[in-house]
Amino acid sequence: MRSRPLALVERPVPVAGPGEVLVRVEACGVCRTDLHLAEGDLRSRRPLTAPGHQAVGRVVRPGGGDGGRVGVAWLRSTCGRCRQCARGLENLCPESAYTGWDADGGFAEYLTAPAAYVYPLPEDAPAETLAPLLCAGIVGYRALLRCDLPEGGRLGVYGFARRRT
Amino acid sequence: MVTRSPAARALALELGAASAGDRPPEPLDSAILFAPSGDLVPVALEALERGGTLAVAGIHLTDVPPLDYERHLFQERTLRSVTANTRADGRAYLALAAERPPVVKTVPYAFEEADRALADLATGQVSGAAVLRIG
Ligand SMILES: [Zn+2]
Ligand SMILES: [Zn+2]
Repeated sequence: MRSRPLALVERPVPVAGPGEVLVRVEACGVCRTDLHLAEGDLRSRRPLTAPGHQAVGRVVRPGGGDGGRVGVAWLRSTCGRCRQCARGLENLCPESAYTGWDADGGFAEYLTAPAAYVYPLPEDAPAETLAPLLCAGIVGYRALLRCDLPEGGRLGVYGFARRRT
Repeated sequence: MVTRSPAARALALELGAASAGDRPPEPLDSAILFAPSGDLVPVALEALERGGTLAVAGIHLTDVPPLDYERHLFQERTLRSVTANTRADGRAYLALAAERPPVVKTVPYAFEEADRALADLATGQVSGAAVLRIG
């Protein structure tokens, strides 16, 4: 890995576009995908993009009011019209876009995201413990559905961590 | 829980895994591969029970070595990928998590330490989920 793939920069607070919300970030999980992007295993799709797709924050209403706590996760948007979207497989949409890859993500004080793709989150838990649910949790859940675990069956999970020398 | 990392094993047991080690003690009905290492695909397939399913959960995997049909796939073993998630998955999971909050072991980093968080992840030094504290 390059020793410092990230640079801390000052930018103006982003402006929410139509259908988007502005989110003030409380905490953001760091995922292996962020590492793949930093290391170039995944090709960058947009220069100087803030990574991070497990952002917990508060919606800042257009007037500045508080719009409640939300989570911004990896899936940023889909087309809503293709065969995959129509079949309930929007994760396979060829036009799907991703937080922290196609648009600035949660390694930032603010980010914007399509309102239809953010998740309301409980107010009573620390932001830090909610953040990992947004990718590790959700994708882990889909993986669990995909591996067809039978009732009472034995499940194996390979690799929480990688060791490199 | 199958991992070479002693710290990850200890964490898995702490979080409720039935066993943790190099190889599963018994054939598995299902397995999820989170490690980005294609070398583990044949290992994980071979450790499946007849009719078992392996789901590869990562977005990136190094090359998968040649598979031996009889050892790795025959007896209706299934190899699948997992691609991101739908919003329905997200809502279903977060509803479950709200009802029964999972035990999450987080390792917090200051916003300015994002580089260090990535470096620690690269070397497998994060025992838990790395999280940046931002606001
Ligand atoms: Zn992720
Ligand atoms: Zn689509």
